[in-house]
Amino acid sequence: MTCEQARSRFMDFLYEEIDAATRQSLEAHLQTCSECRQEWEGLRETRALLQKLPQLEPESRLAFTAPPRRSLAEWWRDARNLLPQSGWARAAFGTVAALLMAIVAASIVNLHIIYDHGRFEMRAHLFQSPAPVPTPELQEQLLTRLRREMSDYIAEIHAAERAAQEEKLDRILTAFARDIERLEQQRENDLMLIGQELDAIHRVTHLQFGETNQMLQQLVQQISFQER
Amino acid sequence: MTDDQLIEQFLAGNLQAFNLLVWRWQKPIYNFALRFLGNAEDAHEVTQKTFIKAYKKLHTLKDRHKFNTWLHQIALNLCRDENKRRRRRTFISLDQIEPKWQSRLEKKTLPGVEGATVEKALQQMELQQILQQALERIPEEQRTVVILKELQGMKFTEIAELLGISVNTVKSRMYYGLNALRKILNQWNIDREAIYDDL
Ligand SMILES: [Zn+2]
Repeated sequence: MTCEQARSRFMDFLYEEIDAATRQSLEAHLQTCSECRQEWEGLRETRALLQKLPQLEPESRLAFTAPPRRSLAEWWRDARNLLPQSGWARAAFGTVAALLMAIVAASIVNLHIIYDHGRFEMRAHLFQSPAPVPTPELQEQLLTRLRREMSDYIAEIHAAERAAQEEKLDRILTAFARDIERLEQQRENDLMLIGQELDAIHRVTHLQFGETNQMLQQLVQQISFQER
Repeated sequence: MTDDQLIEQFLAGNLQAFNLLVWRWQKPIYNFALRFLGNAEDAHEVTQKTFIKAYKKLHTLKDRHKFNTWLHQIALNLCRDENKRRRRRTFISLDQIEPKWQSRLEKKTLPGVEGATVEKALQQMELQQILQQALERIPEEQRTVVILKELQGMKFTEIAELLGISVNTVKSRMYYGLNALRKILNQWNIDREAIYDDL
């Protein structure tokens, strides 16, 4: 194999689109020709470097909808309905609040509840108080139980609302799909990109838990204030 | 479900099927545009346009199992248009960029920051930027082949068909492209240790 022939096979070799016989004679040439070997090594290293470029995630997901007979305002109203409904959260919130009351009644005050990225965390500090306080073991037990039950509730709310959202989104998409033949007449602008809406839903879900968290904290502060 | 089946369903009137295709191919197309253009915002726009065009033209695709190359073809044309538009916009000279890379690479640690992890992360980040810059410096026809082959993992025959050129031409563009990249990286005098250490 000549140098020219060897070079003409480099790409096949590099990307393993080469037959065994050619591969063997190319390898034999590289053994004996330092110039080709050097170039070959360079190609291999460059390829290895390129493979370090990561595949990045696009910032938002695209989705096509066909909103022919609806106005934009109507579409938005539908989209807004995808946002968490308060009924579920309210019911769970009531129970959680009741639990909190029980804890407060056990004279634990200044309770901090942090809900962050799906993780639920609670911290409690005891006031130095002449009133009888539960033993550290009891406090720990109560806290453990509260922590567990609250995170269960949060998870439940989260799952239920997500399911409801997905179902609703599915319904909207299907409804739009029925009107598909009209889409051709639509201007490009009318192709809605739902990705951002999905992001918004996600944000609002988080926001709502943030609010719940805030309300719980306010509640605790109020109760501890009254106690004092 | 295969792409063929989804295309069939879409053409039969199911918009959801098209959305599934979008969700399946958005990431590869976005990455293709990103490497071609070197800019996330433009890449996002090209991705969006690609799927809008695909939506309108999908009924013209004859070989449904060639959806991948067909879609890349659309993206490539849009990327080329974008490049033409941009060439009129700005031009950054080589001198402005290269010394910056060099000084940053020579300085291997950040002041006040210690630890191999930080250093490594920094190097990884710089490596990505350097590779991206190098990619943007080689001729467009070579860059196209390098991205399609190396990053999109296409076969030489697929690329040949996509570009409407012979397989041998594809291979020679790839060969020249890789050599050109190597030359650029050598010219920038990139610390081999910094970027080759975990090969
Ligand atoms: Zn040789």
